[in-house]
Amino acid sequence: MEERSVQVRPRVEFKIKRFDPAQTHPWTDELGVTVGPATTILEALTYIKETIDPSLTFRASCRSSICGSCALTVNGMNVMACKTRVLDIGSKLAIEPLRQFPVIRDLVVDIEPFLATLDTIYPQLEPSLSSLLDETAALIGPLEISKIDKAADCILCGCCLSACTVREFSEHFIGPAAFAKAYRFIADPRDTKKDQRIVALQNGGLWDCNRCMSCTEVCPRDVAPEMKIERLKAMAVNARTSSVPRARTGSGTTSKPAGMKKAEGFTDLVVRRGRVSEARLPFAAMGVSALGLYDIAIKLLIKRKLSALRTQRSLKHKEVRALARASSAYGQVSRDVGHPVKNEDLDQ
Amino acid sequence: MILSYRYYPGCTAKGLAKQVDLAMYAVCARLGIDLNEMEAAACCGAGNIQESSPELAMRLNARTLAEAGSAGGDIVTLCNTCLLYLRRANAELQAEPSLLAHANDALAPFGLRYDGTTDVKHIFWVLIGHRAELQLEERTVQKLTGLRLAPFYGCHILRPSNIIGKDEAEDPDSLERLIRICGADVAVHDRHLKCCGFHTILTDSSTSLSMIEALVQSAKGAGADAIVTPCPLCLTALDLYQSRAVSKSEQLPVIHILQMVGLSMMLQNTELGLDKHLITATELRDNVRPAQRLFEGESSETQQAEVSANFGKEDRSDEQINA
Repeated sequence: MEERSVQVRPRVEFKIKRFDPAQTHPWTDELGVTVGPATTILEALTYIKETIDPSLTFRASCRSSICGSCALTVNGMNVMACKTRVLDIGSKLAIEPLRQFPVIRDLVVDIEPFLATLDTIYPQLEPSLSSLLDETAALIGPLEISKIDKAADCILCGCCLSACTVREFSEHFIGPAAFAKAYRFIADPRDTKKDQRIVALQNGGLWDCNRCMSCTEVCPRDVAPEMKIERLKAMAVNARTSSVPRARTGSGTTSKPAGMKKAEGFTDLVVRRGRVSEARLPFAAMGVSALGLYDIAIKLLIKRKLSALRTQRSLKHKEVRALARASSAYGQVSRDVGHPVKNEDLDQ
Repeated sequence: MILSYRYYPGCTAKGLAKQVDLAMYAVCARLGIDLNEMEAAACCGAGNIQESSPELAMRLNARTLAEAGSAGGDIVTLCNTCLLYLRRANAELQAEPSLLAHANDALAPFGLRYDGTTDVKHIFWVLIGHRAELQLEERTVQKLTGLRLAPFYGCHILRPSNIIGKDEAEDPDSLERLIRICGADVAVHDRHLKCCGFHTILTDSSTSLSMIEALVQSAKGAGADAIVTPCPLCLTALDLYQSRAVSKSEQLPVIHILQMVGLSMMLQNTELGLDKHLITATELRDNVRPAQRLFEGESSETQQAEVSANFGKEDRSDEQINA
């Protein structure tokens, strides 16, 4: 008989956050479980439920990272319990429910508010009548699919919303999954509702994303929501400067969102000087409201640091102007590493 | 000079956070890192140009990468956001030949051509990755004993890890290690991987100020004397806007890692620009336990040995850090 080496199965310390709606406060259970090298967090939780504490409540279904049910917060990071091996995290695991979600019991959260954010972005394709009547007109090719396939991979697990640093402090921000889902439709050449979507997204806080990249980091399906948000912002800029009537953009009014003003103003300043002028940027983004920053300017003056606002031009900044003149204002380029898309194939 | 880089300072280190540029030159001169500043390089876009004119953003970064490559050197920056957007452009140009050709067409009139071989690093990685060659532990002679520093990484040196290339986005400890090399205590707190709110401070200030408030309270709660970050943008958000987020008694000075390293190399406050902070940072030196100051007496050999021993245990190679 073949001799096999015996591996020591390590004992891992679990701290599981518990909550029972019949009790006022959540509590933490601490217990040790022996795991194998391939034991997943979901398997460990199932073992605990079956052998130690049948009252432990968590949600799971497919066990294949397809259904999105078992997302959790583990040591502060958001992961799918069925996809993540215990020992890949470490020998001490602090397990909590998803953050930014109401907790129903133990590790089970209420996903209704999360699903409600999706309702705000018209979560279905709105093709033209002609394409509905003519089957061939409704077909799109592999290149067009490549634009949207990653965004379409979202399984609504909620990891991105849980990790979102903006959502933590701003409830009106609809969150990364909703924006990524919107991108899936808006970048689909068959969709006819692009302008309305742009308006809805701006109302949902599109320009409030602070590019912290947490959503992109935790997404178990590599949707890269932040990248989609960046593209949606570029589309919103383009919509304002091209065919979309002014009244139909920006919260139903003609005013530009501050974030859009900042992005455009920032670009203009860099084109002029090679570097962004930090003294002028607040005025570009906020208009006269920038005067409200006077207290900071006074403190800079006291610290003899006001000169720091005189940003040095970069040498050869005229080259930057020449490059800008030669670049289209909305010349989309491929920015999904690993999923290259040709320029001409991007969003209309 | 044992290490040589094309130095990309970005906009903020040439503007509101000039102290970080000062500290960069002061610390690198002491450590023998040769900096060849890219004076003609333009802004990395910082996400803004990527949103309003993506094609221009790509071309500007291709130009920066090409210029560094033409002088035969890798880029080093002191800014997290410059690091991310330069690395992202680089990864895209390297992955897609037609994108590279498109960018090179635009650069041709300026006599530039990018071959895809430039690497972009953060000075933080250089300090940690080359600490042995740089003799970092030996040169940080004034161990900051008694000073409690709260680490704050800043988003763009962590995420997304497929661009940043580090293997520790989920559970990093390199900043804590650098703090310990300098002899300071780590104020362990739970917001060290969160966001400072810099990028929306002008356009959604209430959310950004909430982020600043939560971070400062978290660091303060851990008994920190100051917050230390590798990013001049985090420094700017936290130094300039903290007074709007927390009361004066709750405020904490915020310094860049280069200033921390400079302090422990006995550089003067003015050499490190510590006198240029809105929240007074010049007194940090006073929090160092006097008995441990080298210039006031002999060094504590036991303490140095302890630091070295701990450091050896957590040793991580340059390749792993920059993989």
